Amino acid sequence: MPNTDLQQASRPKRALALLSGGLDSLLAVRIIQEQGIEVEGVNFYTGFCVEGHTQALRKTDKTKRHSALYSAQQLGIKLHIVDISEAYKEVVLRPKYGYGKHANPCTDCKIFMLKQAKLMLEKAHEMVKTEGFDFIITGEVIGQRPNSQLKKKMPIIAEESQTEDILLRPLCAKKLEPTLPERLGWVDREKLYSYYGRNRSPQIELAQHFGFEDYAQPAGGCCFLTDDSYTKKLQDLWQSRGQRDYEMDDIILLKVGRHIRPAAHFKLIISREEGETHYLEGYRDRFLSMKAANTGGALMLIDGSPTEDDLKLAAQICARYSKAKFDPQVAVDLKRPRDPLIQRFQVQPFGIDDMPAEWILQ
Amino acid sequence: MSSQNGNRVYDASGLLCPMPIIHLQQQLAALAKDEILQILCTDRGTLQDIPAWCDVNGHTLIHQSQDSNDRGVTTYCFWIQK
Repeated sequence: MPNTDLQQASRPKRALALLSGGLDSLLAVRIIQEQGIEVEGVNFYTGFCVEGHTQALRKTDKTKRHSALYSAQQLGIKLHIVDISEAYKEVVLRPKYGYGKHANPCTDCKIFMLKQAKLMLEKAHEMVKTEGFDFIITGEVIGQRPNSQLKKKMPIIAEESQTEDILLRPLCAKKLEPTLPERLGWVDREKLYSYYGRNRSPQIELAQHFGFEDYAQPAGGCCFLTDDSYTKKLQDLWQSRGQRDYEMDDIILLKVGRHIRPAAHFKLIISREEGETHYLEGYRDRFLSMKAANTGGALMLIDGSPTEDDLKLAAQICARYSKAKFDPQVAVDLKRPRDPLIQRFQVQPFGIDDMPAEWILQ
Repeated sequence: MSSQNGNRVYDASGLLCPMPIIHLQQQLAALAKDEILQILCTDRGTLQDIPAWCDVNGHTLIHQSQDSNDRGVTTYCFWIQK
């Protein structure tokens, strides 16, 4: 046996955990820590994570924090946050196992994330033999999610991600075949769990047992692709462009502001509060934009190819979201990208109740 | 990344959660132990995320401050020792 392999064999075992920030992955890590195994976490940023963007933009009284970071703090483990947003496009646009209820490619997503985790594991092995990881853990529970966590999908995910025997799911391990860490005695299978189905009570009881009182909401709520309103806007984007593709700015802007589409060839994105206004300011060099002059109000981006008549309508809508929305006439300024000249419209604000419901994307 | 008073400075203004943290990870990885990175952010979430990230990954947040401009945009500044 080469010396490095001897070092591997003799050192304490270490696990890399997919840490979403939800309760299940929090518990999965603690279960393995209880067996004396050192764990580090990895959290993947897909571009669709609910953690970011709108939470950061909008002023609310809610505590803003990154759930996976908070989990890592509670667990006392290191956390690697990895940006996979560019490579993740392929998962969203062409999922082998299809979509869930909305535009959520959950099975392909899990396979992709596990593949990424395995790459990290292999990279760590190459870099520092004594600090490598021996297996991967997730907080998956059989039958908890309608698609990716079906029992028949679990082996497919393990096989397609090529994690197979080194993928341990501590919350439902006893309902699955023993994995390498169990067979070699790194992990005591008897101290793992056999959770099944959508009932959350066992996890909540286990959280109490471990002393976790403050944790994120159950799994599934951490991805915009499971959100009805968001996916409608995403489908609208693809439909209006005649192709299924996106850039990072597209998917971020879908999370910001009100989206109103008066016609197929242009859409309006209207800030709802100061934080969003500041954020949309950064896009004024790439989009046509409007703002009411001489009064407070929303900033509006115009996406698409509006005609002069469309711009007048857009100005009326912009005025409707200004502080002068009840005035007979409002001045609205149009700014074109990279053009210092401002075009001013004098318009009657769009009627409060005149907005056709089908224009509003929500 | 630029340099100021011997410290490395990285401007993450305009980036939203979790990108400031991802950029911070990358920037800090290029520094030697005990070197200090100053990072500027406009995302309010960094007020929670950067101290938490330093905590879990064993880096020292030695100082933080914030300043608002006349447009009401607040910049949060963190000094982190690797």
